[in-house]
Amino acid sequence: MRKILYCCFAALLVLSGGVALAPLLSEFQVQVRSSVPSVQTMAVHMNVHNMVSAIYLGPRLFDTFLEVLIVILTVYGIKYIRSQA
Amino acid sequence: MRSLKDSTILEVSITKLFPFVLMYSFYVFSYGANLPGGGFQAGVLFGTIVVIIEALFEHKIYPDALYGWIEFFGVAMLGAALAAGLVFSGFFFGRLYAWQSTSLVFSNIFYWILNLAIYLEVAGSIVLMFRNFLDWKDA
Repeated sequence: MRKILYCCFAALLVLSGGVALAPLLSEFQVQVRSSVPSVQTMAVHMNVHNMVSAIYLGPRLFDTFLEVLIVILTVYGIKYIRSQA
Repeated sequence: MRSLKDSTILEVSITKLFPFVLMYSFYVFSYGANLPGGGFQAGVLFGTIVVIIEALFEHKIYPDALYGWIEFFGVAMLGAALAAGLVFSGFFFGRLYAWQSTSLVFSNIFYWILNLAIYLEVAGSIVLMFRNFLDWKDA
């Protein structure tokens, strides 16, 4: 029963990631930029001084969200492997 | 034979250190948008002190269910932020960055909420992960 729950939860996480990415992929276009967008301008606009936070909670928020999902998957993966041992 | 867990100095110093580390982790995630730090770092700080105490003294200071709930609230907050952006602007996490104030902690309220969510999630996950390793008799 627990194994089925873990599998369902993992499938749900993967599915939710897919659903989150689907709208992005449907409008996916390769963009060639000759200059890097100014992170400083973006940080000032968002009223944030930490450049690292400005990036990973700003334009890279989806990366952060998926990282969080990976951490959760790790916890459940360890639990699953432990239950099999 | 005496071991590390029999040391009164270690026991007193680490146990007394716990509330200060907890407070410092709050500080690190709260000011994450404006000072070095953030939700991940603060979560690891909290997880580390709990793991050190549990590894040294070989007892759980809070039950697994509590950390499971902490982890769940973190993910639920992130999911709620994602859904709220979709409702208000039609984009995931959209239009919520406009919540700003003049204070240093809440200079951008959405950043603070995201840092809190990541802090809760990482803190719960780190403790649960290490508990599973520590309980692992085969390792």
